[in-house]
Amino acid sequence: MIRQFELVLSLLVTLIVMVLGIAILGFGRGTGYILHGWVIAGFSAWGAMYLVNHLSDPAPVIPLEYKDNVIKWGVLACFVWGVIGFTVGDIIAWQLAVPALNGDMWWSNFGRIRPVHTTAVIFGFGGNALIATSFYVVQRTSRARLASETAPWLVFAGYNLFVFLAVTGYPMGITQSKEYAEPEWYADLILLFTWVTYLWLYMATLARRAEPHIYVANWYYLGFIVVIAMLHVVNNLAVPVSIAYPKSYPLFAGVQDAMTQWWYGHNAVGFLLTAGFLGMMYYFLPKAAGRPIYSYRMSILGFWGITFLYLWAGSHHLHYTALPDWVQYLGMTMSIILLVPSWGSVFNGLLTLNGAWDKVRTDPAIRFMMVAVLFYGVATFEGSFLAIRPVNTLSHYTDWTVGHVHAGALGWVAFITFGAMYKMVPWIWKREGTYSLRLEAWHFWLALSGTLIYVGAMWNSGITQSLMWQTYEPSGAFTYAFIDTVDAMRPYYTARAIGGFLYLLGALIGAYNIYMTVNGPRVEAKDTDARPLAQPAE
Amino acid sequence: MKPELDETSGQHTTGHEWNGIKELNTPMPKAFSIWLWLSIAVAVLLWLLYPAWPYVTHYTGGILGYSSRIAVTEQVEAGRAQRAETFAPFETMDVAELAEMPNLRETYEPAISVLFRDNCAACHGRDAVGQINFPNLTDDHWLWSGTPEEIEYTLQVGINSSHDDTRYAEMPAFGLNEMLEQPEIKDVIEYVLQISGQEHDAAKAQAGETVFVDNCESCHNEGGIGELENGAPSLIDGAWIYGGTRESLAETLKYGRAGVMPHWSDRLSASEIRQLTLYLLWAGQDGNGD
Amino acid sequence: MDGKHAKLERNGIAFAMMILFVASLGGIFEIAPLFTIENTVEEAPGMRPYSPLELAGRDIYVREGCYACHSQMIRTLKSDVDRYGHYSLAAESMYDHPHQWGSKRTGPDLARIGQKYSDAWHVAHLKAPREFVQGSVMPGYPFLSETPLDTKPLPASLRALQRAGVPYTDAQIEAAVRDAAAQADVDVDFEDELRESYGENVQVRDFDGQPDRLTEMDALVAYLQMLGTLVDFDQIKTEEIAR
Ligand code: HEC
Ligand code: HEC
Ligand code: HEC
Ligand code: HEM
Ligand code: HEM
Ligand SMILES: [Ca+2]
Ligand SMILES: [Ca+2]
Ligand SMILES: [Cu+2]
Repeated sequence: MIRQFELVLSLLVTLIVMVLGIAILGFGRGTGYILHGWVIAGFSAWGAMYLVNHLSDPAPVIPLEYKDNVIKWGVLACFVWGVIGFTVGDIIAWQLAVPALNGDMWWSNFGRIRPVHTTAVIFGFGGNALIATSFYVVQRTSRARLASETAPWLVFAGYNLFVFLAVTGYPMGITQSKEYAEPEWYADLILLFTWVTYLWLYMATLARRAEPHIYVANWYYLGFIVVIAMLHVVNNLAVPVSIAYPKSYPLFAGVQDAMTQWWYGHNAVGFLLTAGFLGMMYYFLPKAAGRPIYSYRMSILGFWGITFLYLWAGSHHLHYTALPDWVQYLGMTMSIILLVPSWGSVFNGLLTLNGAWDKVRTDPAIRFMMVAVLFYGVATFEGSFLAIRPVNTLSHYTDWTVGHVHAGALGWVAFITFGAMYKMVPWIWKREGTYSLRLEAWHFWLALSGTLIYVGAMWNSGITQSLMWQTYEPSGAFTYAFIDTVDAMRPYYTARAIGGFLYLLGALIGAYNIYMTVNGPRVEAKDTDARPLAQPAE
Repeated sequence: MKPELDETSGQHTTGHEWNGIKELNTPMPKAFSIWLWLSIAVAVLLWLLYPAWPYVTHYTGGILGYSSRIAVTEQVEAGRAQRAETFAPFETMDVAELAEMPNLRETYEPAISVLFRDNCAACHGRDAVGQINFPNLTDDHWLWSGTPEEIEYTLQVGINSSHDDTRYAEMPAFGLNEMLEQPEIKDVIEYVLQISGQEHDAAKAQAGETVFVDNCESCHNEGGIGELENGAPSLIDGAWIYGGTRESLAETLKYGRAGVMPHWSDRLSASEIRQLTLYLLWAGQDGNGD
Repeated sequence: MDGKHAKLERNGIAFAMMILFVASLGGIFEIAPLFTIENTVEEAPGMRPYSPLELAGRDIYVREGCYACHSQMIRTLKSDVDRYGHYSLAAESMYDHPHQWGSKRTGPDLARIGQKYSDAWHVAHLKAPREFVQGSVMPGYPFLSETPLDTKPLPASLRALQRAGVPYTDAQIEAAVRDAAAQADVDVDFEDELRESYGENVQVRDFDGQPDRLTEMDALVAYLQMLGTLVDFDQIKTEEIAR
């Protein structure tokens, strides 16, 4: 019964999305938009067909084991978007160093493809890594199979459809230009459906858990899912122009829109790039190190501290702007307190390695995770520092922000992901270990040097630029013109692009290593996981 | 499950296990709690001092009565007052007097060059030698006389700008408005090429001379030497705004020209405009670009 | 406290609700009051909604992602005000759906770029910035001059904005296509109607140097040329808008 109900509901949602697609390709004007209509309609039609074909099937016997096949696709998507995102990141890095690379064509310029980079890495790479590992972790820590056979596929497919629409839309000029929320209303709508399904699936799986308590990793994954849902809905409230155009106008304007935007933007950082990945850390680090979590109390403080404080901190993106002072001070003070629970997680992660430090030397995956935690510490310390108004006068609008972002993004988000993937891939594919520890080490050192070059270059360029903007002669006149600062940036932009290239190279080696691991021989005996205890649905 | 002792840390676990993962019940380190409460104390202090907490129609203003808008207005005023002193000559003297002062350049040129790069270089280039459609300002060939007062006035009101008193200088669109026939235009182009010392068709130029006398001299003066009263450029000095090739001349005659130089009286102070005027006069003294 | 938390850990739904509650506080305290506290958006004489041509230009600005390099926000910092002009008011972006304050200044701030340069300069610069401005790293947008402006969506755009709270009248919505052409001087006849509708500070002329065509360049330059030119700062006293 439940299975039938689920199939019908899934079918209904798929059909709604299909109707949306058909409406777009029917009424739409503009090539890109119509193309999107076809993709949405085709993709959901295929899904609907699949569901219809299986509607009357006799209920299959669901084995008492974890549902891992969708996770394998998630790993694939993560690496594909990762490589795309890093490549585009390095292309735009080179565009700033050698601007002729803009090509001056309508689809290729910096402004249009920068969001391709940010969306591909944050949502494509990061989001898929989180969805895949969250499915893995929630099953293991609940000792229960995912609560549905279809919903995981809907989540995976809907989510990647969203990323695809977003990333292909920008070069064709389909964007709201709201940072990190650029996709237009129809893509936003698809993500909303997907996210509600994800939330339900996660809750339902937790509900079937055989363990009495919910493990910390799941608190964080749940925080990520719930808060992103709230942020996404509020920040993307918009009035579409008409079905004929992809365009919409966000509901809020000016100062209210700015505050909503950065309430969203800071917490996309806080709950996607931070909370989600802390969930990852809380499972894979202790698991790989074979050590207990350092402190349960620290876990509680860290989690609720972050969940409460992050949502107040967004206004630190708007210091000295037309946003009223009171909001700026509120955001600044909360950002200062925020460092405490953030470092709570750092200590909890690092001290969990007590008694396993030798593994950091021998196991590159653990080294990835340890360095990730260190970078998380650096990024959050820096973040709280930058949130102080006078400090922000130096960093805001400059590459210092970009340096901070990539200390977090390259050093924390991607490092923890690589570390977790090197562990999870052999586990789900049932392999002895990764294909090559040497390549893993190469990946590590390339990624580390790339990150250091990138972040170092941006710190320098950011501080240089803002000092140049603010330097006065003793006479009270400016020492530098704006264009002088553009000149001064060029060497740093080149250095950053080289650092980014090393990072990309490392990621390619990593992707190859993962590929070879998957292609390697299967070991039946090596089963690191206990089996699920909870009975799957009929 | 019972809490168990972890040998390495000497702490007990919480007694839960998830797929092999356990947690220690390590108490919060003292230092950590102190840090947390200290941060909160700092925050509370700031909330008392500065605007912070909203209620429905207003917010707490803070003991210091701080407002970033008032603060910046004061700083900007202070900066203005400071510059009024350090740039005193430009506040008190007129440009003609300033032009006579011997030592100003050394002291002031670096700072004024920043002003030039932030406002003027976009059109006239970083070294003020101009580029296609935007005149060279260092060559001592002026549209509007080049005396210090006239340059200053040009900067204040602009040329063909949105200022109410802007200088107005338009080259009519002889071709578009059918004020001249095609052959006449061809001829006068050759004539302009001739008087500006370029390769030309002598026969056509001869015919063009009449056209020029009848139609162009009223603005460009006899022999095309230019007219400083109305901004019509000299056509014989080789200092072209629009390039001076046959193609560009044809374009000029067909569509006309009315280059726009923005006005700066709204954006820059009177002193800054005087500084820039002097800057141009100094640049002209170097005689780059003939 | 440990005991209470242990209870929460045993109930997934309660845990999720708790997260939602705790996480919603920030927005309730920081966003909602911005709609109710009166001095959040100042009285600013001269502010008006975008004319249809300016709006079309703004849509292009949004489409091209210029915010990736340009801010439109002069902060209350001395060096910002000295370089770019009067600090930005909240009122100046009160019709901006979405705001374009930006988060990175690879290029200079554009909040008061209007009327700083000529139309011809903007056209030449947008077509080939790096040939035109020594040292620039800005991409070129030569295709804007070639692409005719699609004015058909304008009435629907104005209508959508009206729904979002911009005070466009129905008459303005109906006349949107005509007004756009009139502002770029393609349709010379309706200039007076346009001014009557949007005010005297609407700039009417051919912006892209192609008097017989209405291109995307017309719209973008019209937008850039009005940025920061609306509010009459002589009438504004800092003490009255301090907050
Ligand atoms: C938008 C481009 C632009 C900018 C910016 C600009 N100018 Fe000009 N300027 C012009 C053009 C075009 C002309 C020639 C007008 C004409 O063709 O009649 C001109 C003419 C002049 C002249 C008159 C030259 C003569 O021969 O009489 C002076 C002086 C001058 N500019 C100085 C400046 C200074 C100083 C600045 C900066 C404060 C500046 N310009 C900024 C475009 C610009
Ligand atoms: C009403 C006055 C007027 C008349 C008549 C006039 N011009 Fe001009 N001309 C100007 C002005 C003013 C300019 C400068 C326009 C500018 O700077 O944008 C100019 C510019 C030019 C230029 C471009 C100079 C350069 O530096 O690139 C040429 C060539 C020229 N005129 C030729 C002629 C010829 C040939 C005729 C007669 C057929 C003529 N003009 C008639 C006012 C006039
Ligand atoms: C890769 C970064 C980049 C992008 C994208 C970009 N710009 Fe720029 N922009 C710059 C830089 C750097 C400068 C300063 C050098 C110059 O004037 O070209 C600049 C200068 C400008 C200026 C002159 C500002 C002044 O005060 O001198 C304007 C106007 C401008 N850009 C508009 C735009 C518009 C409109 C877009 C989008 C269609 C855009 N820019 C996209 C980097 C960029
Ligand atoms: C090969 C690796 C990478 C390179 C070369 C790279 C390069 C860049 C460049 C050039 C920018 C634009 C900066 C600017 O506007 O001046 C950028 C922005 C950004 N990137 Fe990356 N990036 C890389 C990896 C990542 C990863 C892994 C993430 C996230 C997980 C990420 C997240 C971001 C974000 C969030 C921004 C926007 C920053 C801001 O607006 O301040 N990047 N990146
Ligand atoms: C305590 C935690 C943190 C605080 C208080 C914090 C604070 C800040 C501040 C003040 C800025 C600059 C805003 C500006 O001037 O424009 C910023 C930007 C940013 N931070 Fe953090 N940060 C924290 C952690 C992180 C982490 C872990 C990441 C992970 C990737 C991250 C990603 C970003 C991004 C992407 C931006 C750029 C936003 C933009 O302008 O586009 N931050 N952060
Ligand atoms: Ca969106
Ligand atoms: Ca940004
Ligand atoms: Cu932030």
